[in-house]
Amino acid sequence: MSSAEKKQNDLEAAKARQLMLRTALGYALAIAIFIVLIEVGHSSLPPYLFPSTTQILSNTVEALRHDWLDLLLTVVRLIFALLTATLLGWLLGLLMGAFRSSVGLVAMPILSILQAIPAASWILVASLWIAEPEIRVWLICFSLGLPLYAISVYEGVRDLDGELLEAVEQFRPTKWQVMYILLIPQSFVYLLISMRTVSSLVLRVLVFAELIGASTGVGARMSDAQTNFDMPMIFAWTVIMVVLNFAMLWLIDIAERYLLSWRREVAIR
Amino acid sequence: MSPDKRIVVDVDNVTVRFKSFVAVEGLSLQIAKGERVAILGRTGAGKSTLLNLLVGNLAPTAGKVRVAGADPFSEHQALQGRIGMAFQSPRLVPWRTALGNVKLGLEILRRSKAEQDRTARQWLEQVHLGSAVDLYPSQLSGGMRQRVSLARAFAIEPDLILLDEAFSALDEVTAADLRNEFLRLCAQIEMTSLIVTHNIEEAFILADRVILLGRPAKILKTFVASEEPAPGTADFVAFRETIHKMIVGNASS
Repeated sequence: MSSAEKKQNDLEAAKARQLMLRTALGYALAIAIFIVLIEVGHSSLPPYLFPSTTQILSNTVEALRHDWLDLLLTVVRLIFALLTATLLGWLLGLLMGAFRSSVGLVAMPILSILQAIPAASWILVASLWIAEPEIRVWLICFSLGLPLYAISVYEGVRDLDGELLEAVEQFRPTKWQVMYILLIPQSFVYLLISMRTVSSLVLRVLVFAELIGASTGVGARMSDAQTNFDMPMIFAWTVIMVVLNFAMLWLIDIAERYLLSWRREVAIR
Repeated sequence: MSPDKRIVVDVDNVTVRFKSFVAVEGLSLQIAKGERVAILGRTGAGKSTLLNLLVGNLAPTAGKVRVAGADPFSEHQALQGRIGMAFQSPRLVPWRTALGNVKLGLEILRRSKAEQDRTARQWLEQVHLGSAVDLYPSQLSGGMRQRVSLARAFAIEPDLILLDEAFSALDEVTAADLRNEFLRLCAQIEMTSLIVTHNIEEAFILADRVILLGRPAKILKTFVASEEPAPGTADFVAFRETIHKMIVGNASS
């Protein structure tokens, strides 16, 4: 590596460190703002309506100690729903993109209709139709995630640079070779990008589905807390869910950094 | 051209029409093995149409096109691995390293993994990028990317290399450097090439024969580069002016 390249790499590493520090500071500031707001709410409303930060924290520890199995169950349900929705959504999107005039033409309107159905409708219908809670919760999350992933991957394939395709086609590849050289890697980019939004959305709907249609999981425990008018516990589970969401986004971030390391992100000065 | 030389490109009285627009009219052109031919002409002179005919993206309305004895359009797969192309922009696959990009054609041709790796590394060495094999296109300069693009086209050792204004987006120093590189590589493996360019000087540096195309693509004049003033000399300046006038004159007529 030449000295100029080394200097450039050092500069980029320093920029990345600076960005990480700024991001951490931003989060610290956001947490501080939330603590202040909670304390203001606590001092202005009765304690049973608005608990203090210390009450919320002690309830969080209690929830983790006593109901960790429910949290684990929610995490397992989330992983399973996301894995199936991601895998099938990616496959469907890829097929839609590769065979636009057949699979794409038929699947796109179906996915658009599925996407337009409110999550609440899925929850209510599944609760009435399906007796098995695991299948019920999975179906709700899967039906929400699948169209989002499929459409995102489809758009990714459609967005393939025509000039790049021409450069590859000079070697006269088969359709399968075009798929694995261009379409599959390109679809991964869009899949990873959509994972951020879809995962958070699925987590929120999962908790709601558990609240309505399951007796186990974080949602069910939140339902108990609501029945018992246990406001600190509702806040405690909310904190746990926010942390879980951050953990999930952090994992996606790591995957993105590893799998999309070839990308150079541009920053506006 | 000596008759014993094998003909790699044979364009015989070709006409291409897009509805009422005539892009190519009665064009005939032959390129022998190891020969370098440059095509000069203004925008709309049918240079891209000619490349599309040779690559097989387009069928002629009338006439015959043959590359290495096969019809590029109807015998598309017969020419697998026999035509390499470098474009104005490098068009590298962004998620592949320089090595991965040079391997691309070899992978499509289903060469063994060991051969892919060995050949791609050799060609990257040839274009002086031996130390950049693991870098992604986003980490390479414009000139380096174009070198990778050339290595990718050469790595499959095709019968015909097509350059579509491959050096026009580069600064003059890098472009001159790459032209020399191109000539060295061509000489090394006796490569047949067709170079499409707007740059008169570049055409006479790179080619043995320079063909001036008028509108619609028809040959206005053919020059044998060795019989004309050498690029960079005072005589070439006047010669370039003459060619320029011929191109402009044809366009306005």
